[in-house]
Amino acid sequence: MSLLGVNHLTLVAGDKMLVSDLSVQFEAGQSWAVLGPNGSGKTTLLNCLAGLHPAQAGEVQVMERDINRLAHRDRAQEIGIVFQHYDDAFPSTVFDHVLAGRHPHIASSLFAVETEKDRQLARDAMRQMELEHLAQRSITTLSGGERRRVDIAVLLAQDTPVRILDEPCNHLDLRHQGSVLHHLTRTNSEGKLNIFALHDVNQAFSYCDHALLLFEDGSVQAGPINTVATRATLEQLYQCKLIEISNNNNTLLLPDFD
Amino acid sequence: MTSRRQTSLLFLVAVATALLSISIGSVHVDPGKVLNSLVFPTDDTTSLVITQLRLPRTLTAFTVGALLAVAGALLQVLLRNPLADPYILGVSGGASVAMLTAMLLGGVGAWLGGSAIAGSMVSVLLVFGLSRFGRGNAQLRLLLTGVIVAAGWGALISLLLSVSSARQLHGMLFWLMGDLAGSKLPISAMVVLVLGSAVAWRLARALNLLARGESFAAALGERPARLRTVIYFLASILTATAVSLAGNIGFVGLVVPHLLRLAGTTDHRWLIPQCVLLGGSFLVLADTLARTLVAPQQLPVGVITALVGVPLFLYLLIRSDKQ
Repeated sequence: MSLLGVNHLTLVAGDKMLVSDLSVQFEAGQSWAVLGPNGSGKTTLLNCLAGLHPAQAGEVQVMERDINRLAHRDRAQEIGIVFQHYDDAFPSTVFDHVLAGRHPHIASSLFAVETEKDRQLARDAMRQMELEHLAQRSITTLSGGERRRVDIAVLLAQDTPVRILDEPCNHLDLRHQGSVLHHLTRTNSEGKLNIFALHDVNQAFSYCDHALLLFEDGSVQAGPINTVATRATLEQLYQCKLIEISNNNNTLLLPDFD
Repeated sequence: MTSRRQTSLLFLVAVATALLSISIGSVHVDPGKVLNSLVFPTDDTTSLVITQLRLPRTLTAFTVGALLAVAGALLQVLLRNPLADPYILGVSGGASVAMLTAMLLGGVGAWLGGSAIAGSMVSVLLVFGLSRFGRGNAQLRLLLTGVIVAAGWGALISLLLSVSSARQLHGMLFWLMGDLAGSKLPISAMVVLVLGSAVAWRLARALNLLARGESFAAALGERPARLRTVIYFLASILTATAVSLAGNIGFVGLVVPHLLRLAGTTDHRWLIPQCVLLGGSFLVLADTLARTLVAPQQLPVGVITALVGVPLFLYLLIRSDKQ
């Protein structure tokens, strides 16, 4: 049984076709890279997969049930999403912010409060994102990269089988770009499905086993990353020439700046 | 200080300010005697002053302050703007226009309170209805619609003041600045306060998420569009009740939730009850000053809330920056 699936999905923004008639199954244990040029609909597709954006046609299924028929709270126990950008209007400590990720797991009854287990999961999530030393800091005083790791810690505390991240590496320094993706796809990936919108195709090759390419005309190619994301298709996808650089066992694709 | 201790402290402050407010005035009464008269009312003058005049006024001040503080906290989350106050979306503007019109037409007593409620409800529905036209950021559209409608009411208020007679003008200005003179026991407003803050408290965990952003709340299983409607009408009812009792008392609804946030309360499960206690105490204290500073003259309590609130707020703001 697939964790998440889409059948004949069509997404339109204004008069631009973003996704036309997409059908694909996402399984537990997989990590998907969603690739495409600016404005190709990566964010809209991710929001739709998370049940937060309506589709023009087709449906999204969570464990073979229509996502729109799930109670919102139940959905939030299955699917977590990290958005591209957040802005903070009110102060909050890092710990309280991460603990908020437990919300869908706390009963909605009148006197339900966070239990010690919820606090422990929030602390674990902070440790995994190397944020323990910032637990009592206000989120408004963090650097961009620290703030980004807090967003991802919220998702880890939410502890959902499906994890959708829109450009998770924004603002992260080189070491954390690797360690965050490594953590999500290797260390803590048992039974989880990761879907990332990425701009760096080399990160996609290093950490993802599947890719979903969104072309300008709304056509989509999805499948194992090595068959779908060839140099030729990526050149067509980004409308730019790529060069291949090999060093030991690593092969990197870079734009040809000439 | 933990939230629990902070709240207990605020509770003691509320009781102390209430006792102080009842004992101070043209006739000074010992706090001990006050308690005695409240529990065992007798027919002597002191007892009558306390139960018939001062208790209703203190309770009204407390209720109005609490209503405004909770409404302010709700609207600040709804609009995700720490500068929002209960009057920002035109609730009090609508009430004021209806109230001044009723005064101008010679209305008295219950007619005035009733017209204030009716006026605010017209404004609430008008803003809500208009904000639903068009597409895009619903939060921002609600804010802009409310602010513009409030500006329209402001113009009508000036118009009404300019055509009223000198005899009526003084009462109108006092009401506009906020006035607690002649308060009766505010039974129905107290019921609104208890029910309203209970609903707000029930929503507290959702408010915690909404304060972090509508999309954040949606991702964690809340329904921002439905919450927005509930919070808007709840805050409007609280504000309208306060305005119908005491006119436009400024500053309480803006400054009290903000002070508590500066003092470190970010969880709305604590913030809502703390708003009730601090908002109530703050207005009780302001009203005590308003009726004793230049006795037997009375000052509009709205003037005092601002005069006390501005330096207090600035002090806390400067201190919080140092930490």
